[in-house]
Amino acid sequence: MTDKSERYKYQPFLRTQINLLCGAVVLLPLAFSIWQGLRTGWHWSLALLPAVMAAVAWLGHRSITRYLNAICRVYSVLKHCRQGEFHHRVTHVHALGEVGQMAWELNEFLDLCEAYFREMTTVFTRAGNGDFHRHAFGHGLPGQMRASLKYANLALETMKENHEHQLATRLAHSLHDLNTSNLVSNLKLCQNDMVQVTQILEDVVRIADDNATAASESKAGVDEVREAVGNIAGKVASAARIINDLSENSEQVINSLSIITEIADQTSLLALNASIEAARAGEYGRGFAVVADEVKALSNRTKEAAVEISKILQSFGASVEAISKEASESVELAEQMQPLVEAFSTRFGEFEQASHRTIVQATNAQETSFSTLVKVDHIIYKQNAYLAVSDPETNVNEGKAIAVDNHSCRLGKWYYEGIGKERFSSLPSYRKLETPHEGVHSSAHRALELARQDWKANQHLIDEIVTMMEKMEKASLSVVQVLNEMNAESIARRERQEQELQRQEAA
Amino acid sequence: MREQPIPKNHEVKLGEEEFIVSKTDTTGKITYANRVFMEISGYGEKELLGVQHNIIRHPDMPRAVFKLLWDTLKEKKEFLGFVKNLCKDGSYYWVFANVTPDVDNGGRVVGYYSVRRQPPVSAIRTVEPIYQEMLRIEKSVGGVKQGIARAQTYLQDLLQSKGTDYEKFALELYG
Repeated sequence: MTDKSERYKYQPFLRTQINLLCGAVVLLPLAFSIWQGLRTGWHWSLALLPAVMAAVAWLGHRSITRYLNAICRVYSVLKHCRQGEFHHRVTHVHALGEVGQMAWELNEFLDLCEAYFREMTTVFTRAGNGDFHRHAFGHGLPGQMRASLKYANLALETMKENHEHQLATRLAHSLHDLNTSNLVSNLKLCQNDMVQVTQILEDVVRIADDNATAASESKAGVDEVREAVGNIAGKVASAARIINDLSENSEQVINSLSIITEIADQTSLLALNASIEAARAGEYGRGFAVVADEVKALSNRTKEAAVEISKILQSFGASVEAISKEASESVELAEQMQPLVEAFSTRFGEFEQASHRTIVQATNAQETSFSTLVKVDHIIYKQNAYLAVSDPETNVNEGKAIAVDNHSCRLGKWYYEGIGKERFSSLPSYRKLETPHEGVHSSAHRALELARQDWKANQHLIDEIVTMMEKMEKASLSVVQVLNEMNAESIARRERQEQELQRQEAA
Repeated sequence: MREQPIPKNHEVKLGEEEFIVSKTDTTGKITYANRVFMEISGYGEKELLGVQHNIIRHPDMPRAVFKLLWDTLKEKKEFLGFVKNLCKDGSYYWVFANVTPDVDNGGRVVGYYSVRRQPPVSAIRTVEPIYQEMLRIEKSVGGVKQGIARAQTYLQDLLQSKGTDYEKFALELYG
């Protein structure tokens, strides 16, 4: 640039050249006339040539200056254009021939340029503000300008699509974020519920267990009562029998006593006959009469005693009859009590069985609820993985939550050291759980590791992250399936044990 | 004062690949007109430069449209619209006008730049009755300002009922 300026520095401009030329045209004839006048003497005709030449020079200069001025204005407009201002024009170029044409061509070229730039500026400014209604108008623009606007319109279409797509993506993304963050909190509520349900069921199982024990103990007690009632009934019956025997014996005694009464009556009759015979014998019979009187008195006393004993025995019989009646009533009562006590005992047995069924069902429910809890844990783990992987810097807590390994999570603890190991390790499906469970954790860990790298610059990383998350999902599905299998196997096993127990009891 | 041409029912049409360009200063005086402008309007450069742009305003045009144009330009926005113009000999021509503020490198508005293109016939058919109604409203109301306001309200209500605004409406018609 400086070289160029240097080079043109000593080359005079057109205006200077014309000024010089006009000066020469005026001065040279003037000098010639003066010189001629000095040599040959002054004559008016000598002034003619310089005057005509001066007039020609003036006219020439004036018209050339008009063209030059127009050219200068063209120059100034072009200079503005170079500075990026396209709104200047060359006006008042009427009747300037080729220069005028040049000025008009420049003006109209600038019209086109300005129209083109304004179209471009307008549509892209608006597009930048998200307004895609305005497309570029190509009508009236020639050649490449029109083609360029056509491409600009195509670009705008693409921009519009991108813009819409971006909006859609942003929306989808926000909705997804909203959904997952809410999902996790909802699931956490479910998880809490499940923890409570599992605990409650554990209590229920324990209560049912206690009930069953109490029921078997009660049943044993009732059995003892039943036996005691039976014994009492037996004892009362045998006492009644003994009293009956006694009553029968006393009747025999009464019979024997009537024989004694008869003997006394006959003896008294015999003594009467003897005293009559003694009276007939007179004096000789006087001693014999005294004996007969004594025998009569004895037999009377015997009869009196027998009647008295008989009376006592008769009252004794009435008492025995009363006792016997009461004894048979007692036996009846004891007999009535027996089926009641037996029904009581049966009901206790049923109670015991029901308690047992309750334990079985509650245990099944507890296992199922634990299985569900583990599944919920799983869903939360996966959701946390999605959140952490989608934005590791923001979702730090989720990242920490998924860092746990397959031995330390709830399922892991249950599986390796808890009830899981204790109750389920003998089931065929138990062994199947370890591999997929480990897979869920390791895939999530790997995905998070990849997400912490600069995946925005590397398309492969994105693919790999997605692949890892897919692996996690696949493993997770297996875990859930194995959990279902274990649950089903455990319930079936318990049913079998129950049936076996009932068969033994029946036998 | 220049003489007002008497309008006559003769249409001059702008070529499909032609466009009219004119520039005005901030007061609306013409500072530049291209040759298509001069040809179609019938005015020479000397007659146009330094003259108000409304030299070509047709009496069939409602004032409310120009009010809208100036309001839009004052917000430094571009104006798009259909305009009926008057030639020197009284003929008329329809254009799809696109007026934008002329901003210098310092961001100051130094004038306005207007490009007019050939409008589709269907667009004119849609716009003409609306303009006629607006003009009728303007003439039926006492004061000029009130008339313009009433015509503007009419236009706004009409476009609102179609769920659009003047610019979108014009863009849609231009296609």
